[in-house]
Amino acid sequence: MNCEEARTQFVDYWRGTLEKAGGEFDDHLATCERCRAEAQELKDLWGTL
Amino acid sequence: MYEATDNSLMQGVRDGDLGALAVLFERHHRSLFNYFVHVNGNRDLSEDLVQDVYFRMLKYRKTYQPERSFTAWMYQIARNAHVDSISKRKFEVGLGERQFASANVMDENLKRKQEIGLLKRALARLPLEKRELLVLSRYQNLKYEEIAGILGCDVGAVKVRVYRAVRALGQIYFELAGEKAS
Repeated sequence: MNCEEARTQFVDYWRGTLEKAGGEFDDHLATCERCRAEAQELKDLWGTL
Repeated sequence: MYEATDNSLMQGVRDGDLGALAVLFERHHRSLFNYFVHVNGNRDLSEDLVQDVYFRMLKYRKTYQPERSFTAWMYQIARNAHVDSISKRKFEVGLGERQFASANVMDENLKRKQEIGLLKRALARLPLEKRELLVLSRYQNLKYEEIAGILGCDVGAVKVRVYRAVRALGQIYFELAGEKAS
C-alpha cells in the first residue's frame, strides 16, 4: 500500500470502521512517518468536530 | 410492535397517505435542523429550511423512488433547499467569529472551548462543498453509501473527498491556531 492508497482509508480509521486491524493500512502507518503523523493529527481534529 | 421504515412511510406519502409525513417530520426534523445549522450557521434560517424541506417532500412526493434510500433523498432535497436559499438571501456566516476572553487561569474546560471555537471558525471558512461533506459524514453520521447517493458518486470518491475536506479544515484550523498563538 502506498501513501495515496492509505489516505483513502483515513476516514475509516477516524470513524473506527476499518475492515480489519493489522492489515495493510496498519503496516503502512507503521512504516510511513508522514502518513502516521497526518492520520493522527487529523484524527484528533475529527474527534473534536 | 412493528414500526414502519422511512422508505415505506415515504412511499405511503407518495401514494396519498399525507399523514405519514408527520411521522417522518418527527423522526428527522432535529437532524435536518442540525445539518442546516452546521452548514449555514443561522438557526432562524435553518428552521425555515427544515419547513421548506418538508414542503418540498410533499410537493415532489410523486418523484420518490422507494428503492432509493429515503435519507439520501431527504438530504438531496435539503442541499437543494440550502443552495436556493443562498441565491435568495444574503448569506451571513454566523459561526464562530466570537472572541474568547483571555484568562489568567487556563483550565481544561476553557482550553477545550477555545479549540471548539477555533474549529467552528475554521469550519465556517471551509468552502460549502467541503463543509457539507463533513456535516453529513461527521455530524449526521450518514453511511458512505448514503452520502454517495446524495452526491451522485461512488463510495471510494466519498472517502477521498471527506479526507480532503478534513485536510483542508486542518490547514485552516492550524493557521487560526497559529495566529492566536502569535
